[in-house]
Amino acid sequence: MQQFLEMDRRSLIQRAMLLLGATAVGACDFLPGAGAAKVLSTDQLKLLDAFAATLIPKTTTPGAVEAGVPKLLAQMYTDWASDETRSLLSGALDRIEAAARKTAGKGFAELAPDARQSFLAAHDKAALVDVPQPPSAPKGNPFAPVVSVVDNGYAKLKDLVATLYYSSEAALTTELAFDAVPGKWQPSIKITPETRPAVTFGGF
Amino acid sequence: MTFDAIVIGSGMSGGIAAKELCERGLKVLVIERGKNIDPATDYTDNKMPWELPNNNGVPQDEVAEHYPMQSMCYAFSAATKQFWAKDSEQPISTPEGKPFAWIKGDHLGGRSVMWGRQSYRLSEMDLSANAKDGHGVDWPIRYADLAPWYDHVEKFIGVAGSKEGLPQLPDGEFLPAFELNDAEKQFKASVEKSFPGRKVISGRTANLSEAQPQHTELGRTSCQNRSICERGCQFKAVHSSLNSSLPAARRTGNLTIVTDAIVHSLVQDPKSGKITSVKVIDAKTKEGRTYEAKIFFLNASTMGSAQILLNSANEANPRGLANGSDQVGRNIMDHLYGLATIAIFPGPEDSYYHGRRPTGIYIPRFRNVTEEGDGFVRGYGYQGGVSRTGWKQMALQPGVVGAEIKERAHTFGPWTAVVAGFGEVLPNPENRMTLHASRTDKWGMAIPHIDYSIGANEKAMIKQIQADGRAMLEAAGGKVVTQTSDAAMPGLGIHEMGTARMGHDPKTSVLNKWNQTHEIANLFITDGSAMTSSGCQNPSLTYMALSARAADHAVKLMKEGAL
Repeated sequence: MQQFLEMDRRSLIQRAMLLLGATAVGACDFLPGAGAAKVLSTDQLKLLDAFAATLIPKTTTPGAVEAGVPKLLAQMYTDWASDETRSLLSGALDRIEAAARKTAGKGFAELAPDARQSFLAAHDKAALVDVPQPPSAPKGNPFAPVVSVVDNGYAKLKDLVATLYYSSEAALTTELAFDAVPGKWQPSIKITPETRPAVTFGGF
Repeated sequence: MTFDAIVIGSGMSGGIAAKELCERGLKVLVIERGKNIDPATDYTDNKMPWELPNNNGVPQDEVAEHYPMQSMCYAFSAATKQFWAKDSEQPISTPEGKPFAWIKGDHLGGRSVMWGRQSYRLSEMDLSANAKDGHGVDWPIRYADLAPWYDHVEKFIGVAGSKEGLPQLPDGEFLPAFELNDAEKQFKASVEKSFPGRKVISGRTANLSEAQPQHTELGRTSCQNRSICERGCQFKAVHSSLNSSLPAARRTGNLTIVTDAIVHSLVQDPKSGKITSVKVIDAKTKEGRTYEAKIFFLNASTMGSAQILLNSANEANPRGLANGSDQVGRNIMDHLYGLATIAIFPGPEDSYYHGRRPTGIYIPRFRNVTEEGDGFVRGYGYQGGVSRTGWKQMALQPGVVGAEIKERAHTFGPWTAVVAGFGEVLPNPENRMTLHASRTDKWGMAIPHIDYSIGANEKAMIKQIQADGRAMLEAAGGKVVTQTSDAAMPGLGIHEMGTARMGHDPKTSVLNKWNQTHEIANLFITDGSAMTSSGCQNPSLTYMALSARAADHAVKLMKEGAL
């Protein structure tokens, strides 16, 4: 329970409202765009690979890279993201790189796996600290509140990598339970050590 | 071409009107302004999550340019994009500071394809509410008038639900209910013990929990618990015009459908006063053409039908057709929506469920039924559910990276309970749709101007919706995590209704007790426009019952030579 109480309310609210069939798309939760290029640079792609591999590594099951997440995200960067979102994502990657060089003296991708992980854990924690907004600041709506953390771009980047991973064929056949066609609704089953949570899309 | 009947609109009510008219032997033309949809090729429910482009997101610039309003609907995604009207092509106007969202489809079947499927009857209490407390005008019908038509529609579309014996939420012809999960059963027991008179039931939903012969003969099969209903369902387990009513109409051999045909206006014969034809604009070529018939059913949706009546003004009727009462476009009601309370719920830790059930729980109205409302008339029900927390809430915590994300995502989270009120809105003639004086769309049609706000009764109700939601969750042992502070933007309930209300008196209403316009004998309106009050129940089932009832009556009148 304690662990759960620490969970962020935004995702809880969003998930809950989706369950109810509510408004899903946020308004202006992004910083103004800085005219980022429409494709990630070669260096950024390399960094994205390293980031994805560190965030969700290969274990006994495929990780984010094996699931093809960096490629998908790079494609979304070009095909889906607005200038504002590109600026956020690009900025988040650049800040990871700059912070790695500053604290570890090397680019993130050049760090040894252990060093990457400890660096990223610290970076992640710092990036996701809530930043209280003045009462006059836009709050979005209850279904899509404005994200306000130290590095909003990082929050977006992490969310996208994880969401793409847990929507991938690799993860949905190894990590979480996913039945495309569940058949009959079973309202009560006992959880055993073998039971895996089912993937949730939106509210489910 | 000449038809016996023309049905304008192929959505929830138009589909049923067409079916009922066709089954009674009429040659029927259905006119749809949106594109054709072929379920065999156009549904996207066979796509795996990883097969959807951009993780099922519509490109953000495209959303901003074409779908800023439609994208506020939860069901908007890459998989359903084909079903939504482009706001850039079909804009609406609202006064500064009074936003309203008109969520609309742009395809055969309309919003019946993406609807939320919750299906509840109005009760005697609802149909006599205006007469009792004096708001609006009296409904010209009572529950007994509608009950057989609710039976008829429920059997046809298939509604899963439990019989509860509640006067405020009459039972129907139900398929087996989707059972509550263990945490929901625990919540139900707690609420019903703590608050005698309140009930927690399975949400009544138009999904075939067990398909019956009348369903399978149309190629419909039982629900597979995928919960991607809004993409269209190739099992045809969810009722929609595409899955049920239009196929039923088509098999009579009496149905003709035209799509991409935007109704411009109804043409009235100045001598007889009857409607003789419909003028349409071809959505693709912008060319005009006309269709003739003997009777006309207007099912273009609450806003759409009013728009057509207003746009059909002629010399003798400068205010629009069937509008001697000046009530066309007025009395818009959209349920209070988005009033959610969310709690961590102490459900059984070793229990889970399998499948993505297409409904949740429902708490029928109790205020001003078994318990008084604090400063308001009418009432509200709640939709909700209790489910296990998903991977994202478990895994994505600050500072957690690496294999621990996977481990956390495997962990069963606690149960999360949600209840969200749907509140009745009173009819207010100032909540009104008019035609914009100067702005037109790409087809030259005046765009709707919607001026809407809630009043004191609704504001008082919102407070109690949230207080009661919190109280029920806490009484059941829940720890409230958050609660929305205000209702969602009007229109997002997507239950807008009331723009051509039924009533006894032609001076104060548009339609008589048969959904026939007081002023034009061969014109019937059976969509949400007809609603004289809103109840707090999801209204589509009532639109369908009114449509079937009116179609039956219209055919009787035709046979008597009265039309």
